Amino acid sequence: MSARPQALRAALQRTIVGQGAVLDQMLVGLIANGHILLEGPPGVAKTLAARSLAVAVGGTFRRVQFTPDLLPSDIVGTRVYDQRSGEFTTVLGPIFANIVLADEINRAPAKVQSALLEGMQERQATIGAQSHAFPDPFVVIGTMNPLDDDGTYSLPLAQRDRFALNVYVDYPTREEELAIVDRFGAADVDAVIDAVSLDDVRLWREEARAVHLEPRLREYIVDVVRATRNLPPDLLRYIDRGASPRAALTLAQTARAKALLDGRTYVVPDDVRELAFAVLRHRVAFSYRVVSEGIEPLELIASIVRSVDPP
Amino acid sequence: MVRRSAGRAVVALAFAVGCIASLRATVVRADGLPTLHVTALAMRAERTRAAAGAAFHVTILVHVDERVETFPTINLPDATNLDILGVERRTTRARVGTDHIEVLTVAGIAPGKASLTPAYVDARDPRRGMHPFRFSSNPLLFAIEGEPSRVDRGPWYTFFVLKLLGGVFAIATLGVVVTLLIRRARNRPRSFVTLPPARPIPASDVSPPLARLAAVRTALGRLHVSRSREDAVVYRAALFAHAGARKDETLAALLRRLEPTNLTLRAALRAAERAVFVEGANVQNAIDDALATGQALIA
Repeated sequence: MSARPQALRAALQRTIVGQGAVLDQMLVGLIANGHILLEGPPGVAKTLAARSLAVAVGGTFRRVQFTPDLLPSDIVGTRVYDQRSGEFTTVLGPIFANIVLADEINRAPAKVQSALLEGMQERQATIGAQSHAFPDPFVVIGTMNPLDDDGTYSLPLAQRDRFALNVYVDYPTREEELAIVDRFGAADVDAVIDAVSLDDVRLWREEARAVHLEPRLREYIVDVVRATRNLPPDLLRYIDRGASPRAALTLAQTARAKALLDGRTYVVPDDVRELAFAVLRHRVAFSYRVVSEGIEPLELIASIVRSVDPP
Repeated sequence: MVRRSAGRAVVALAFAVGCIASLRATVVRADGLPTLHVTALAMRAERTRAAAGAAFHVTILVHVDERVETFPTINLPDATNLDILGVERRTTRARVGTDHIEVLTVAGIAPGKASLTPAYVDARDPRRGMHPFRFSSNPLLFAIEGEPSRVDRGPWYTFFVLKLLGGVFAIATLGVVVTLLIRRARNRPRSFVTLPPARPIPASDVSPPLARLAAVRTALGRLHVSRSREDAVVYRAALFAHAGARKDETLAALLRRLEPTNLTLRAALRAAERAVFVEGANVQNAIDDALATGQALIA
């Protein structure tokens, strides 16, 4: 009898206080076989969430702290000459893990970012002449700190597009913060180990692919994504470029995963509406006027999503 | 032969020394520059045509990604046929980075064309390997016209204006008098007359909720007969309208607004949603649920 996604959700909630929507979106990313970009101020349990997820699914976890002096071989791996045998041996980098936490991904230069993002897309890395497949499941959780942007290299739109979801981790509520102090103040709380297995995750992915998506909802998804490109005149000056068709594909996949996580075998409009922000946020290129006029990008996305009536 | 090659060596040496000296000068200049990533530098004028001597404003807007307390000097544009009367600076912290605005007060000198060359900021850009860059704004062109002549409109114009003002005053006075009369009439003591009982008004005219419930009943009847997904869609739309849903509202948003105690309507809405979006193999079961919860709602 395989475990259900709800069991994993419950296990994670034992470690992480609050942040229910964040955990749900991380699980959706895991089930939809997509990578996740976590954005939020420091100290809001971004790293803890990623580590807890890896421990709870019983997979291998690697954390790479991105710095300006990081090299592509520090992530992917390299070939080392063994003097005793007189041969080259391959040393695999930290990217060969089930869950890779790329901490502060925007602190590394473009060459390192592209090495990681290429691996994310291909799900394999070539070292020397040999290609090495990544383990399955393979999820990259990148984190970015939007408040401290000195000395950072912002991810280009094409590279942000590789992440299925851009999840914003906000500060907890007062009650949640009190619970955090209560729970973590006395002693360290260990993550729940092996709440589910990697085989369970693979099975959920199969099930998610079979979740029913009505043609009306397919049209709704496409209309929402196209609305970021066919903007009304009052929003035109704030957005340079809308979301790609890959966004529509991702929205459909993640909506299916969300339905499975909620114990349904069919997608409803709420699944699409709820995930549209996380799928579109990092795929839309905002113009400089958004910053100069102090407009909240999420509000813009919200007004675009609301402009399309659900079926 | 030896003398010629010696001469070439001297020239090459002098060239090399010159190159190194110029490189050193560049490095020294670049070291003194602030570290900024300028994402916006624009210059706007409140008007492009102005009379000679008339003052107007030109705004220079800069946005940088960094948080800076004291903004470095912006190299102001060179003005042709314009007097720069004053500069006002303001630096504000944006959500991301810093905004800096400089407002120039300028005035045209003589009729003809006037222009402002681009304003610029020299800085080392951290996004581009800390190389020194010159970030420039757009230039601006203006048309300076002669001073506006005063038109002598003559005594008829004054007469007409005075008549117009008199007319407006008369109408306003009349309006005040009429308002006072109406209020006085309303404040008169009312006569106590027994009014006939009110006529009953048809329910359909005054009670849209009942009409919406009737639409739900009709849609439910059709669904009962046809048991098709298309009729489930019509039934769901009628049910959403009955619950007061807006066009852009999803079920979750609607349920958040509804009274938590209205369990029958909540159950009917959930069942209708399922009947519309469930996979084909389970659609008949879902329609059964929708019919049962719908009947309970109507009852």
